[in-house]
Amino acid sequence: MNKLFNIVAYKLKNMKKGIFILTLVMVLIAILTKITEISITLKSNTSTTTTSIFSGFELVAAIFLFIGIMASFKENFNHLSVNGITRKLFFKSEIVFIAAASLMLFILMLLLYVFYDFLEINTKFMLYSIYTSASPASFSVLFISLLLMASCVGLLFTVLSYRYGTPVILFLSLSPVLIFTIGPILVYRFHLSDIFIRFFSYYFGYVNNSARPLLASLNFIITSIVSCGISWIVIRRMPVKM
Amino acid sequence: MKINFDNDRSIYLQLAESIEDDILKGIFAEEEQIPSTTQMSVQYRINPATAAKGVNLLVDEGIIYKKRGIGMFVSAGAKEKIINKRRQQFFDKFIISMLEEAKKLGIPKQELIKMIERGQINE
Amino acid sequence: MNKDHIIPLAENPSFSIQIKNISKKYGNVNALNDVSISIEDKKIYGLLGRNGAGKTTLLNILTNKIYPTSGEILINSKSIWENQDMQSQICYMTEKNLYPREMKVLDIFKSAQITYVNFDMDMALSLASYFKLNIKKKNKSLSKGFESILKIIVCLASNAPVVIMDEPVLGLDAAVRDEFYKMLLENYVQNPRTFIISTHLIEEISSLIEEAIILHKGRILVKKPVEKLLEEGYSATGKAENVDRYCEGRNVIHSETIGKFKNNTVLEPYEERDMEYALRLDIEIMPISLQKLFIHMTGGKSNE
Repeated sequence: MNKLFNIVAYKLKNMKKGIFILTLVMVLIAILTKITEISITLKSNTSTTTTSIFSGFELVAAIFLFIGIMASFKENFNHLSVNGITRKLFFKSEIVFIAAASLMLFILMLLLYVFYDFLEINTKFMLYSIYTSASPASFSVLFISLLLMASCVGLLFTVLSYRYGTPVILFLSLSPVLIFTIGPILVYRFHLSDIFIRFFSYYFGYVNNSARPLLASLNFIITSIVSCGISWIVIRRMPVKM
Repeated sequence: MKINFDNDRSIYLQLAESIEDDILKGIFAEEEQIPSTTQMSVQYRINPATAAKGVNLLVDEGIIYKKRGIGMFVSAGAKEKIINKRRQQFFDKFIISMLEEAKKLGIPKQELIKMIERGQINE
Repeated sequence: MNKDHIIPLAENPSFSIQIKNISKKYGNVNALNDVSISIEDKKIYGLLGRNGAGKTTLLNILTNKIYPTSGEILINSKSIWENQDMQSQICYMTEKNLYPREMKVLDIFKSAQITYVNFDMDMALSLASYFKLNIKKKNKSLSKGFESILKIIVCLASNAPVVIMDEPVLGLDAAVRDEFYKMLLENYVQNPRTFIISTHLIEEISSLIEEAIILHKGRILVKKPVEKLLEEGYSATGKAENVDRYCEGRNVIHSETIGKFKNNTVLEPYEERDMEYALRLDIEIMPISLQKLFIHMTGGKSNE
């Protein structure tokens, strides 16, 4: 297990730079927002409450992890494989790494929230506005499971492109376009709208006109597990790109 | 012992010959220690097994002997052994082929001897 | 170079490798065809072959980087596929540079410690300084020669019982290549382990290796100690009709005619009576180098 720990530490260390830049950018945004607010207030001579609200914490963290996991996979896999690490151990370390990174990003966002709040910038968590009845505990679970899902789906996408190459990358980058152009057509033609709406509502925990954070969390976690499962099947006997 | 090994001949033979040459030249005196096979292997960029084979050849011929735990030493009388061996090789390599060549050119034995004498005077 | 810090392998287990019926197909092409060999412990092997013979494919399969179409590879009767214990005993120097581009040399050394428990950082650092490799440099800014040096140092300092090197001297000038051979032998005599070196520079490597494995068009052509291999052939030069007479009934694998003279390469051991016969026919018998033997075995008539 010593090896596992060392590999996870290695991956976290590689992520340091990205986290640093992310934090720096978030802090700069906060400072710039504050300066803008102050200068507007000064100029207009009235104590106007600004209408700017920063609510991007969840999205920023999810996108960071999604892209980060995708971008770091190839180099990590090549490097560790050359150094004699088996796919099994690599995959285990990736799971632990995803869990650790999700937790770290969660804590980081909480700290940044406090910082924004401290600067008296109007800020809130988007998840709270959707899941209004969420307790701090279920909010945390929801947030973390969202991050886990973003990471695991990122892993799945990158593993598929590593193994199957350009066709997959093309497909994945075009899929949003396909979904949003052909999707509505299919939905209209086959009267799928009802099914879709019901499925997605359920997926995001919207049941009986109330948004249930724990149900959504469960669905996110199931998605994560399925993504990881498929990723393992792909990685199991994957040739290293020599 | 600066040797350039030929890739056209067995390396272990070349190594054995070069150690013999050094003994003849007096670079290694009798009862003196010679470098270990591992040292020679690294120095001449040859596989240790090859170096060992060359040295073992000399051990078999009684030119080198092993002192357990210490190393390889030149045997007493090694110089003489080498000279005798080389004399036989000299005979096989030069004398036989000289006689063959002389036969081809039709040079009789008496004339051959005169030629040798002439060559020795010119030294 | 002191060897006090090398941790000896527990109970000195053997790491002989059994390669059994390895085949690799890419579509219709047989990159490797039923390769079966036994790699004995603690020897230096040379894996030789023409471009496209399948050397890198075999090494990639041997190190579990890719999977074969069929066959298995065992060390100590255990399959090496996804066997972390075994993989930790094998250090592989790939032809390509697969280390992270932005990573510094020192960090690459450190990362090797994750797998190779006996990795000797002191040795790595002193080798780096000896070869003038700047450990603070990023991987992406290394020249081809320094890339090779980096990979070589990782292998030598790994102290892994099995070291596999694919074209280790790419980009190295003659002086540095000589230093590498010296380092390799020093490392080997202090800590005898299995080395498998694949290279095009046959002349240079022939004196270092104990056994040669020649791969040709995906098959094993020969696997023999170099000494024995060199005893198995010679060249016969002389007047064409004499050479032809001498070579009657012999296995001639190459022939060159220059005017009235002929030079035949014979793939047979030569004996005393052959020498006498040759002398009578006025034919010169000369040993041939491993490289010439290799060229003739993998070209001309054998190129079927």
